Amino acid sequence: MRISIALALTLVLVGLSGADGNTKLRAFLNDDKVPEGWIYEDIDAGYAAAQKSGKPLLVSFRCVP
Amino acid sequence: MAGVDLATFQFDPLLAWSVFFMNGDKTIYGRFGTSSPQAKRDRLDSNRNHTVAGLKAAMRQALAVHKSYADDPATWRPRLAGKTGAKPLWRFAEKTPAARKYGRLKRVKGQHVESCLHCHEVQRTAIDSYFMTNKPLPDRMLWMYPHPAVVGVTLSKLHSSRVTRVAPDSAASVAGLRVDDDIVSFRGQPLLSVADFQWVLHNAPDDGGTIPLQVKRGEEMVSLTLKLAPLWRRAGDFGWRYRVAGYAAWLWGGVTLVDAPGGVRVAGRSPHWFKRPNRSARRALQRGDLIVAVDGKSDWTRSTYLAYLMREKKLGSTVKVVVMRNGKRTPVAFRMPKTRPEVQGH
Repeated sequence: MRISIALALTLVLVGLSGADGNTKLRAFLNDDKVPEGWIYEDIDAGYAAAQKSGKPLLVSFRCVP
Repeated sequence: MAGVDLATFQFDPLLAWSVFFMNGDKTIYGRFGTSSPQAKRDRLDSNRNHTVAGLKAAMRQALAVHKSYADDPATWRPRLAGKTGAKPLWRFAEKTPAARKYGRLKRVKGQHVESCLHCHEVQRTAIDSYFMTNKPLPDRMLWMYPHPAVVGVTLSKLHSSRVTRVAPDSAASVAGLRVDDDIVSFRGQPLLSVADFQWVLHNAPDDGGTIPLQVKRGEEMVSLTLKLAPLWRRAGDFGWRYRVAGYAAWLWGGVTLVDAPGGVRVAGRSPHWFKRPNRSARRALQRGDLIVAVDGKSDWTRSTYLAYLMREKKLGSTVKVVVMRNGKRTPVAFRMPKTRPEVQGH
């Protein structure tokens, strides 16, 4: 299970650059191609970004298949 | 899930994908993502319970709640407090006693799937760890995240909380819910999706009680009360959950059980990959058997039978079963395993 975080701006997911996760695992999951702006495996960075921007968080958990 | 704080992130562990909508101060607005026994029965991936339209509806609701919370935190803070679960017994799945004992959670070089602590393993490690306390498992740990159908409601996949069906004579019917009602709040909490309805049910007492509902019916707001009977969860089924199959192998040798009129039917053998099947049960039960009585009691479902063995039978004790076999009531018996199951891999 990996975790990624984005900020919701109206109905569009907009994120921030964030901490890098395990590079090999990200490649295995094709998560090295996640759209720019998602925060990857750094929930604290997500909280901080949301508080700074005043926007809500969308936190996504997904299974490693 | 290793490293994920379960004090904040509590959700149905069966899901392949789950979403939280939150404030930066860690206040939870709602959840998105659900699965169901119907989907499992039909061999559908849990994501088939989701729609893009439903996700959009949840996002719109999340933005509305976010604005309301920002405008009036004094009113909304208590409404949203229940969205965060009670303090878990173990805050991190990898630190549960079972996970520590069985050493399941080591990273395997190059084996990403095996290295991952999967969501469904959160359920397994919690149940196995609870076993180690020698206390009976509460209903809530088995019949977890009850599907709305347990109280007679079907909610739309396309909306946040629109009722599409109310089962006759169900708790929802008695409460007065109607098709096309939009549930505005459930136990005071706003609903973003079906997952939020399940969250409220998941946290309701095992022994029943009442839950206030507010619905929008046309232009009218209507207040209702949903009554949960004692042991209400047991009307549902948890035997379909993926990880439960491991306990089935441990308890009754890996045969597949299905609910049937008059009892529980032995439908066949489960896949071979289950570890340490109970050979005694495997010998006693035959394909086609209808289990009609266990230890002198009748009226079993797959879930109540499994729960009974998991919670009330002592290790190494004998289970006396009466099955209908070739049209005759046939007594058989098998022994419970002598040891608890180990946490299994993916």
